[in-house]
Amino acid sequence: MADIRIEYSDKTKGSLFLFWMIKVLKMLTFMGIIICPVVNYYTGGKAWSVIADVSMIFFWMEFLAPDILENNAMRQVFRVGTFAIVINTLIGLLLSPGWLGFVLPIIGFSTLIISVILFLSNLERHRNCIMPLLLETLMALAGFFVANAVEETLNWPIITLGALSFTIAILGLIVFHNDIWTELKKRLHIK
Amino acid sequence: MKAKKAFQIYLNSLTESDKALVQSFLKGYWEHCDLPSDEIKLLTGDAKAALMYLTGTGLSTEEACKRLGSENLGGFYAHKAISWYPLDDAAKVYPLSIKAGKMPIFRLSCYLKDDVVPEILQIALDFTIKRFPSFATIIRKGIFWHYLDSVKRRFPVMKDFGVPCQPLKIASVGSQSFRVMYYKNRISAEFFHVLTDGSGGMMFLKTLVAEYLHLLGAPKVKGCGVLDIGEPPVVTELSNDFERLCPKTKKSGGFAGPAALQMGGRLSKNTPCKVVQLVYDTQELLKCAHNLGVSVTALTLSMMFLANRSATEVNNGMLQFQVPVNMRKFFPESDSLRNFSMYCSIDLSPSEVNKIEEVAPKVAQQLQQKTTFAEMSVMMTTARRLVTSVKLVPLIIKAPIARIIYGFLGDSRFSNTLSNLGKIEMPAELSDYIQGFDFILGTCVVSRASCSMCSFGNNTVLSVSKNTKDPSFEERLAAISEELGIRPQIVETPLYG
Repeated sequence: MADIRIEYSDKTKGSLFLFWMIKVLKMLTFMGIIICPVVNYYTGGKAWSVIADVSMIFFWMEFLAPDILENNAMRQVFRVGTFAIVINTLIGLLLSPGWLGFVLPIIGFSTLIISVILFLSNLERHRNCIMPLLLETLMALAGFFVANAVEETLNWPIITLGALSFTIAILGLIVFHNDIWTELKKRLHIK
Repeated sequence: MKAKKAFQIYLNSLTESDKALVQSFLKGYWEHCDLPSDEIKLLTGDAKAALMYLTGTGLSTEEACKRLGSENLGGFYAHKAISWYPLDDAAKVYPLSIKAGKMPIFRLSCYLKDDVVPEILQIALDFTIKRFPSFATIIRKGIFWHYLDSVKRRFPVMKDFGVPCQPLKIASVGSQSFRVMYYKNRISAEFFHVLTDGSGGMMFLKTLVAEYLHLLGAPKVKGCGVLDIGEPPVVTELSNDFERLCPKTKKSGGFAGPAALQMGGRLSKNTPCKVVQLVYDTQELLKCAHNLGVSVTALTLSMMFLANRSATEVNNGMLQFQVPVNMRKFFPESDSLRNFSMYCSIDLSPSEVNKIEEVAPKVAQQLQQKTTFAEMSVMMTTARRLVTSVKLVPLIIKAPIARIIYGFLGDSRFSNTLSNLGKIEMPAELSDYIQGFDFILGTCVVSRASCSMCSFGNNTVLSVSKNTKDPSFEERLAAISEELGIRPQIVETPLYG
């Protein structure tokens, strides 16, 4: 006769509230993504529905179906920063032009500052998660060089962005060159 | 705070020489750790708790300090987390197919004769993990493939509650891809399938249990799958043996196939929603299988076919059962702790599934034909070619395509799964402390049940993870067993969600 004591706890944890809430929100968001362009098309005027749809897609990706892998604070800051730049660019281009050159670099260097603080707050853990900061720095440098090539005079936010990204790039290469190299090897492996 | 106070009281109760011994013992822990201070505090806290427990059982302070010596930590907590491992061929599909609440997890458990001491289990895990560096990892995204990145931290043991094989939280920087749990007399280890397969996981569990028992006074042993935690990990244990040992076969096949006939019953929101275990007397099971002239796996599959047949009202289509095949049996030189399994499909039409006497020989014949080295070589080569051919396609393109293909094929391709780990062996010196083992597979997306089994001593445990609350499958399985004269003891978790 088999002789093994197998027991399980009586606890049946968890409710389905969150599950259903996400389901309902997904449905509402999906409806919103379809309805907004239709309403915009028939009511005419500026293309506000593009901004609404991009925002809803971001909401979906960030809160309703977040990434299961590597959805850590560094990545979240990167994604929020990228979203802020995309949405402001769209607002600037589609609704009220004239302020993009000032606001975008402010968002850029703010994201960089937050990422650096976060990175340094737990250096040992974030050492293996340097990629978002690397990308932000490269994007900021690219932004600065584009602005430098296009604009005759540079405003203070773009100068700050350029100086900050350049400093981070130089310091990063001096202090973390091994980590950056290892990170690149890992991220680019094809085995 | 409570623990700190308790340790202070304990320290004050010691003689001066014992006090000095304990201070030097704790100093050793500080020297062996180069982690953030909160992690070091947790590790030294584990050592203190284990020390208090052992001395509380009457062990001398000197003997307790010797057993829990900081040299057991090795260099694991002192070295930086610089190792990383590309995923093995079998694991590559898992991160591509996971979604919220659905994750390929499996659980291996060991049932002891006495209740588990959490303090000792924690320190045993602190000591054991260094021998399994590919388990102390977290999965990350590369540009072309995912990979396992090492994590240096203390991995906590948790009290087990709820239903087995719940998804792991693997999103944050320092999260983990496995967990160790305890409940009464059970020690369980649950693994995200990217880390290892059942055989690799069982080596980990056996080594952990052996270390746990050793800390409680059992002799130090190795062999029968128990690794020496004092030895450094062998390089080939960490290798992708699909790549290293892939036979040079020119033939290749495919993974696609028609959708299988699924059991009825509404899919539950929480998966698994229940686990039912049928505990058989191994001798009775063997006798029954021999009477039918088949193996235990074939007998179990045959019972499952009959039970599956009763759990659906649809008759058109094929009942297709997935049976994982351990490739190590074809490659004895493999000592990989990573995934090294392929699978075969045992297919019968519902009209063929009537009586066990008719089903068993057909199942046995298919098992024999489809699990040969030649068949498995073809599958292994196909997998290797597939991996090689898409290696330069960025993940951003591969992932959605894989998700669609997996959605269409991966899960609906099979009606059920039977993973049999076979006979589990432990060194004779430890057998007296152990009642048995069990093995539980997480559920799939569409299949209503996944079955897994293993045996130890006279206990063979068949675990059924359910994806629906409809009990027809397991009820019929139990009824068939009784008809065959192999009455199982039935244990089940509460219905979850």
